[in-house]
Parts: sequence; structure tokens; C-alpha cells
Amino acid sequence: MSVKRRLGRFAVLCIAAMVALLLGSCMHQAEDSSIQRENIDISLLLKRLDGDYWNSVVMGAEAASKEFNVTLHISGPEKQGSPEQLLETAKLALVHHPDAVVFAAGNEEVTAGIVEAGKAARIPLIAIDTETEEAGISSIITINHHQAGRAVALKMSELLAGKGSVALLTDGLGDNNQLRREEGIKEALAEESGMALIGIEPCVEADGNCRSVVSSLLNEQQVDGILALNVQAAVTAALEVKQRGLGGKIKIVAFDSSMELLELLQEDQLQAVLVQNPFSIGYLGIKNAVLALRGEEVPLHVAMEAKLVNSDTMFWPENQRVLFPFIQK
Amino acid sequence: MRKRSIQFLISVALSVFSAAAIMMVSVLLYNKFSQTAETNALRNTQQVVDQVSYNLEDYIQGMSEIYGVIHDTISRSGDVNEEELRSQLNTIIGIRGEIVSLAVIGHNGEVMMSIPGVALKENLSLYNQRWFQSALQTPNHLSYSLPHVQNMYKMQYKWVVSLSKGITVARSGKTEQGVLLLDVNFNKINQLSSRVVLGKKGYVYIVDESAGNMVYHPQQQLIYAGLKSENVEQALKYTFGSFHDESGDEDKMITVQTIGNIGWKVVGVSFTDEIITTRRELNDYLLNLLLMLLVFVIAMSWLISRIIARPIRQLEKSMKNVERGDFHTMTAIRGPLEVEQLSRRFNLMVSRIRELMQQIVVEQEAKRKYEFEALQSQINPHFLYNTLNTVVRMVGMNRNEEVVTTITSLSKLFRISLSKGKPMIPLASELEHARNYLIIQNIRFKNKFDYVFDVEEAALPSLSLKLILQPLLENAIMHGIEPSVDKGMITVRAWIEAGQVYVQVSDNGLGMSGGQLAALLSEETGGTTKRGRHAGESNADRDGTIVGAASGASKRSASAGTASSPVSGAGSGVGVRNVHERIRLFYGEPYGLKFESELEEGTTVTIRFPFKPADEEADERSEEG
Repeated sequence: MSVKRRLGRFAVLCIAAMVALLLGSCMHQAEDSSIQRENIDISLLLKRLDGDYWNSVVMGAEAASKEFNVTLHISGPEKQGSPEQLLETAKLALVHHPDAVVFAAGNEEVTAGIVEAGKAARIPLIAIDTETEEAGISSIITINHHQAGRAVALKMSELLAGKGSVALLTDGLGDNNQLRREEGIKEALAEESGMALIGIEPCVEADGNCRSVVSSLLNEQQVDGILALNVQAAVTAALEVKQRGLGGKIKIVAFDSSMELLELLQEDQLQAVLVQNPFSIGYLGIKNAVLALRGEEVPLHVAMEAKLVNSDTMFWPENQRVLFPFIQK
Repeated sequence: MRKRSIQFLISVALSVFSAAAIMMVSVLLYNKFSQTAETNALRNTQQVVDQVSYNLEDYIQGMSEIYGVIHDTISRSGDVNEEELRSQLNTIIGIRGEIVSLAVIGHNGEVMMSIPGVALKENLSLYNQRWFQSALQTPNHLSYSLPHVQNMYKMQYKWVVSLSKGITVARSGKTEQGVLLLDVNFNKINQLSSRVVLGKKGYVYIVDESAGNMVYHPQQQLIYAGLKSENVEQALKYTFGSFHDESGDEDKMITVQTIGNIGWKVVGVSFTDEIITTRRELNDYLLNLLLMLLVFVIAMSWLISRIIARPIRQLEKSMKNVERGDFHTMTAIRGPLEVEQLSRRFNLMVSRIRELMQQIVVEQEAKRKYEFEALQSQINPHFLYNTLNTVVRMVGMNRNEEVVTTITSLSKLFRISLSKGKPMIPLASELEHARNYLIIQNIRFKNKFDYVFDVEEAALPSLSLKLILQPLLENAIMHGIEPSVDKGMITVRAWIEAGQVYVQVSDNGLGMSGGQLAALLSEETGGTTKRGRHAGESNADRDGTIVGAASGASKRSASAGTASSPVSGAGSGVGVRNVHERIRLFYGEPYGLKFESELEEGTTVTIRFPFKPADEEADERSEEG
């Protein structure tokens, strides 16, 4: 009798053990699925969303977010907005408690505001295309705009064989990057004895008066070269020069590129453009944010490269990739 | 659980063995599984890469076929610029949406015809375009360009792959040599490749075999920006097959397949750590399984060993009990078959031992009884022999009256001494027996002595061993009265004192010395009963005594308690010792005979035994017997 009862107990124990094994394997699977759900939210704040440059930044950021399994929240004004507008957007973005913020700000005030808000939220901040001295930023990814300005000025000097008067077209919005470029240009031109900076004209696209600014500039003065700090100014200047049939005679060197600008470059209405790699900037912005979140060491300053491209070099394979981003549609 | 206990040994042995077995199986399984996982991953990658290659090859094949159709169509037409041709070509292009444009370019770089009719760029220079150069160099071979931005049309920068080949066309009645360009949207190739997923992170890229230029890469932008790099050189060494690339910070498995006639290679990159992750998962799972099985096995072995060991321990406890002399211990019969059998055997053994012990007790008792009976039976034959001799003598002398008396007494004597073989008779019968004996002896010894019975009435019903008085009387006559010159006097007394019966035989014969007294009941006096009997027989003729050795006695007293051996007896005191031993055998140690003797004064022997009333019926029956 007791042997039978013992056998019964034995069987019960066996079944219990089997159940334990089964439960163990089930729990294991449950554990697995929870890992995959982990995700990072990163807010990407841009000072504007339009234009080829920022499109490429976004593409780069998207490429990185795909790679690092990041959910990207992009925000920013359609066109270049006021500093207050951007700051407002930044605050709105922080309401959703992102894990990190990658931002591009036009001026120090906005940068300071974002940094302050970011510090309060205790999240990593990555600045892209924003030169700043502000502390509390994990990584700053940008070209050196001052150096870029110098490079453009020197190219102009080269095109004019070291002698000529140059006019400068700005966007007149007081954007930090543009101010630095301007400084660089002024500095470089001052070093060249034959070069003279004859005028700094704001070329505000929103006003629609850019064309008339260029026109009056050309009418009033003997201009050998025009330096344009932004795409819109460059296109306007090149078109004006083209209309006057002065293509190639008045040298134009500009920052950044657009389809239109490249067309003009090929037509020799424009001699050179300084191009950055916005895709890389966007990519690295997100990547460094992820690394900072993981607690890995992130370089504070990431210096990006800028390249001068002319009509001869623009179709070099490596430049093709920069100038004509893959549009995978 | 003590060391070396069965439970311990079984538990440990079973656990260790099971653990080893499980471990071995796990290792084997793990190896097999991980190997299979790796092989599968490799095969999977290979299949995917092959598939991509086939798709691309098909696609390119399709394109080259269309190119051929277009080429034929244009070659056969009367004029490059006739409307009919344009509409034909438009139809063809319309079917294949991925065809961006086609153009016929003269050797001088002049564009003879282009579809669709998008404005061409001013100051167009096609000489330095690669597709144009390769078509010029090998006019009969269809060349494929790398993906590039087509820079022919105004405000249109499309990523295309250019197919180019020399063509002979008719234009304005003249036959001219030219190049037929077909631009194919690169997006299609992108799509074919970007959809491919190898594991979670793996991907496929396409590289141009001749210069190592990247045709397609999911992270092409990053590669051109220098943010990522691909180990193209190594991949280029392979036409097909797989290898491990450990150059980067991550261990990768590279699978290469070459697409024929276009000179591209499809390279699949899968990450080894994903395979390892699978392996680690497997490892974790197996480890968990192992641990759980181990716990299970240990519990099971503990239980099993307990089931085996517990009844054994119980058995041991029972054995201890038996050791201590408790033969009524019974082990509960349970446990495994062997232990159960063992318990059963043990129980059988214990009960057998018990039986044997019982038997020994019975046998001992039987032996005692046998000895007792043997002692009792010794008495009769000698006396009978002597008496019959006397009767014969008396018959010879015609003393008939005495003969009758003697025979009658003898008859009574024997009736009593038989008593149906019972060892116990009433004291009255025993006294009667003594009286008859004295009558016979008196006749034999010609009234050499007188005798007197002084008996308390209360003592008569007591049971007594039979034939205890006769040897004492015999002793008194042979050694006390007979050697004496005076007429002897024998007194038999019986009384009860403190619940004990005292029967006393005293004579006024020679008496015994202290040495004789001591020797009388001592076993060291030598000689066995048998010898004594033999001696008795040899002496019988001469004087009718059993043993005649003991003569003379001092008036000292000797306690009967000193003698112990029931069997051996010697010379003079055989009969007396016989009585003593019988009383002690029957009643126990403290009872027996007590001698008091003084030389020339006589001897008194007192028998003491407990009072035990006789059953009357039994008594009667014994009388009848």
C-alpha cells in the first residue's frame, strides 16, 4: 500500500517538475519580446524645414534612426522663422519627454534657451550646424563657418587673380552661421591686398526684393565678384548676371547648393559653391545622441568638411553623391 | 544524510551520473544546434544573395533585350527623326516605366534624337562621359555604366544606369555612326537590393568589379561621406562564396555572387553576432533546462534512495532490537521488492530463532525430566534384586509367613513406586511406601532394628516426590544400623512448618564423620551414576547395598545446599544424592536434604520441600494404578 502511495507521490512530483520546466521556457520567451520593444525617442529641432540642405539633414537623421532603432520627431518652422518661434517649438518638443534632443539653432539666444530646457529635462543635447560655446551640450556637429567664409573668399580671390572688388550678399536675418561666414570672408579679404569688399547687402528672400538689391548693386558699382552667403541670394545674383549677359565675367561664389544653383554652375553663371555634407550632419547628430544615451563617450566637437565644387568637379562620383542626394522613391 | 550511507551514495551517484549525461547531451545538442544555426545562416545568406543576383541579372537581361529591340527599331528605320519611329519608341518606353530616356548621339557628340523631348543642356559636352567613351571604344558591345547622375537634360539630375552601344542610323538620307544611349532609372536596382534583409542588421551591397566602385549600398551616403566603410577589396577577390570578415569592429560574414556580363558583384553582409545571439539564446535555454533537470534529478534521486534506504534502516533498527534480545520484534514489510524480501526473510529468521529457543527450552525441560526419571528409575531394580534373593532364601528355609509378608510388602511397594509413572504422589503414599520398605528390610535383616512413624496428620495430603524416603532409609540401614552391634532404631517423622513439609529420617547407628558428611553430597567424590550403579550391582550380592564405600560418620552436620550437580554422584551416597538432586531439580535450589550426624550417635536426615496439597481424584487414581 505504501509503495503504491509513494509511487503516486513520485508521479505528482514528476508532473510538478514538468510544469516548472514548461513555465520556465515560457518566461524565457516573454523576456525576449520585452527587449525588442525598447526604443529611443529623439526630437530633432531644425531652424527650418525647407530647402535641399535641410532635406538632406533629415534624410541623414532618418538613416541613423533606422540604424539605431530610434523614433524620430522632427519639428521646426517651415521657413526660417524668428528665434522666438524656434524656442517655442523647442519647448513644445520637450513636452513629449524625448530621450534626447538634436537641434540646429540660428542664434545664441535660442541655443541658450534650448540648452536650459534640455538641462532641466536632464537629457543629452546635440547641436548640429550650430557653432556655440554653450556648456551642457554633449556634441556639436558643424563645419567651421568662419573657415568656410575664408575658403570662399580665397576662392574668389583666386578667380579674380587676387585683384578685384567683391560684394557680399547676406540673408539679413542675423543667423549666427552666416555672421561667422561673413567674419571669415572679411578677414580673408582683408588679408588679400588686391581685394576690396565694396558692399554688404542684405538679400531677404521673404521680401522678394533680393533681385532689385542685386540689380542696384550691379548698377551702382563696379563689381568683379559676388559672394552669396545663402542659396537664395546666390541664385538671384546668378540670374541677374545671366540676364545681363555677364556670366563668367562677374564671378559668383556661393554657399550650399540647390538644383537651380547647380544648373547655373554648369552654365558658368556661377563659378563655385561651397558644399557641406548635410546628410552626414544629420546622421551624426542622431548617432551621437544615441551614443550619449548609451553612456558612451562622444566627441564634443565634430568638425565637418566643406568642399568647393565647380562645374568641372561637380560630376565627380564623390561629388555627385553630395550634390545629388539619392532620392529613393 | 551521512556519508557512505546508501541514500547518500545513491543520491550522489544518480545526480552525478544524470548531470554528466544531461551535460553531455546538452553539449552535443548545443554543438549540433549552433552548427546547424550557423550553416542555416550561411545558406540563408547565400540564397538571399543569389536571389538578388538572379533578380538583378534578370532585370539587366530584360533591359538589354529592350535595348536590343530599340536598337533594331532605330537601325531599321528610314530616318532617326521620323515621327513614326518616335511614336514606336515612345510606346516601348511607356511599357517599361523605369526607362528614363533614350538618345542617339553622333560621334561628334551631337544629339541626333532624344526621347522624351526634354530640353538638352546648353554647352553640353558628352565626350568625358563614361558611357559615351565606352560605346566609342567598343561599339559592338553593350556597356553598362555605373549609377550616375545623367547630366544631359535641363533641370534634370536623375540617377541612372546608362546602357550604351554603337549604332548605325539613317538621318536625312545619310547613314551615320552614332551611339545609342538608354538611361534606366537606378531606383529599380535600389529597390531590388534595399528590400533584402539578412537577419536584423545584415544587408546587401553591389560593387563594380573593375574599379571597386560602390554601385549600391544601403548606406551609400555614409560611405561616400566617409562615415562608414566597406571592406570591398576582400570581397572583390571572390567570384562567389563566403568568408569571414573580422577587419571591422564587428565580425561579419560576407557572401559574394557575381552578376554575369555587367561586372557587378552582389555582396551580402550578415553579422556573426546575430548567429551568436541565437547561440547564446540556445545556450541560456539549455543551461536553464540543465539546471532544472538537475534539481529535478537530485530531488528524484533523493526520493528514490530514501525509498530504498528507509526500510533498510528500519530493518537495522529491528536487528538492533533482536540483538538486545527482543525476539518479538517484527519489521513492517514494505519498500522495494528486495528490501521487502529481506524484511520477510528477517522476520522469518527471527521467528525461527524464537522457535529454536522455544525448542531449546522444551528440550532442556525434557532433558531434565529424562534425567529426573532416570534417577528415579535407578532405585528400583537393585532393591528388587536383593529382596527377591532374600525371598528365595526364606523359601529355602520354609519361612513361609515371612515370605508372604515380604511379597505382599514388595507388591505394595511396587504399586506405590509405579504410581502410573507419575513423579508425584501424596506424602501418605510415600510414607506407606517407606513402611513397606522397612517391613521388607526388617525381615531381610532379621529384626536388627525397630522403626517408628511419627507423622502429623496435616502433612499427609501434601504432594511429595516419590521414592525419596527409601534411599534415606536404605542409607540408614546399610551404613548406620547394619555395621552397629546394637539393635537399631529408625524414626520417620513428618510435619509441616511455615508452609513447608519436613520429613525426617533418623537412626541411632554409627553416624558419620565430618569428612564423610561433606563427601556425601559433594560431586567431587567421583564416579558417575552409571559407575555407581555398576558398583551397586557388583556389591549387591554381598550385602545388598547400592554403594558400600561410605562407612563411618562423624557427628558433624553438613548442609545439603553445598552440592549442585544433579547427575554425577559417587560411591556411598548415590541414592542419597539422587534424592537430593531430584528435590532440587523439582523444587529448586533452596530445598533438598540436610544431614546431621555424630559418630556412635546416629544420623538424622531432614527433607524439606514446599507444601502442595494433592488433588484427591488424582490421588485416588494413583492408588488404583
